[in-house]
Amino acid sequence: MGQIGGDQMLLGELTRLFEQERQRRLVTLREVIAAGDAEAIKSAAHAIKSGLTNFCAPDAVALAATLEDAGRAGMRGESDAIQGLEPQVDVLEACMAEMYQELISMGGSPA
Amino acid sequence: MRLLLADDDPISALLLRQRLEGWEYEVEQYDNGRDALEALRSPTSPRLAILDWEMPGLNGLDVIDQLRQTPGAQERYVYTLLLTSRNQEIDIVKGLDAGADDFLTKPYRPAELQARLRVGLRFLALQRELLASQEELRRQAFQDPLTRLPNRRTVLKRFREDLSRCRRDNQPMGLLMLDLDRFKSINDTYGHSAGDAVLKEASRRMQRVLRSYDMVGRFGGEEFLVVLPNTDAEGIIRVAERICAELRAEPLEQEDGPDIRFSCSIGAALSPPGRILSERELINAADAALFHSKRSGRDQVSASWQLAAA
Repeated sequence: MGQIGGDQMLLGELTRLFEQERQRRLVTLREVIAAGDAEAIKSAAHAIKSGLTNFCAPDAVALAATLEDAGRAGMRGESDAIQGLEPQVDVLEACMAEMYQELISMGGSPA
Repeated sequence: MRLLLADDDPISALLLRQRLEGWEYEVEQYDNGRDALEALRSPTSPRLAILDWEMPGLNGLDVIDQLRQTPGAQERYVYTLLLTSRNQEIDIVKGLDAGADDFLTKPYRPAELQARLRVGLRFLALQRELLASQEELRRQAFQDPLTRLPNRRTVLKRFREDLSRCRRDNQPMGLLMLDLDRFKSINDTYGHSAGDAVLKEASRRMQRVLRSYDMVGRFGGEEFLVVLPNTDAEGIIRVAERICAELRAEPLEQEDGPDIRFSCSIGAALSPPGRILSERELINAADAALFHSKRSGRDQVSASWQLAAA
């Protein structure tokens, strides 16, 4: 996030995108968990992790990585690995909601 | 420098693009692998690309794999850097084995990314130099370095090809053997650099006279061979006379010496339709006619078929 500097336009755009992606990707993640689709869980969690690596958010990245690993384990046939993931998604969602509020407090406009 | 960026994550793409533009890269951005591949296959695409591994449709690895298999990919090489949050050793090996030139894991350190892009630019500069050297070697193999005309090997190859085609199509074909008059005397009087200038000027004037499908090549020393496909006796004489006239018309003006007048003698041979003359027979006939032009006072055209009839 250091690269934003004082660029308010970039911060505004980033905040808008973050919110848009946060909602879209979390909905997808919940859907594929409900469907028990291990590969889709891995991909959805990876996409969230990839976006989060742009922020200084090691806890959120680690959570997304855990979900990605669970999907990968499910692809190897470890069906237990993709059971009961919803609470972890809840924590991830809370983390991302906090990040969103932080972006707004820095000056980013609410989406 | 232009750079192609393909990343389906809009946040990553926004931040990376911002950074790249700050480093003065001109960024062409795509959010999926298929569009990126199509763009990279275009002859005007950027030669430097940052590709995200995970993308919908076609991922970064597939893009690189298919790009490397595109005809002409080696000559128009695209340096690819795979950017991904996959960070296991096996992923890095897989990425590089698929044909990526470099690999960087997210979150990346900006200074490191910048340095790796500089490596890519150095690689592309070296590749440009290599291709230019190859092109120069290729040119040298086919071209006479002084006159820039096709060399002996090239003009003989073209002569054989045209002769074969004209025979097949039952068309006439002409061959001129041309020799600059008293060239040794030009060298002895004005020096070898003046002699070289005469050779270059004579070559330039000959090319000016010829049609696009004719070919003149340097046969050796001050001798030239002119291939005239689909040309009958009348046409051959007309071209030969025009060359003679063009060479004698104006002297070569030298910046630091006197003007040099020069001329040429020409021997013409014809392969008429319906009669099969071998390459050797045609060359010998043109050579004999050239000898006749020389003995008859130079600066003139002799035709082998006229000599044979006389």
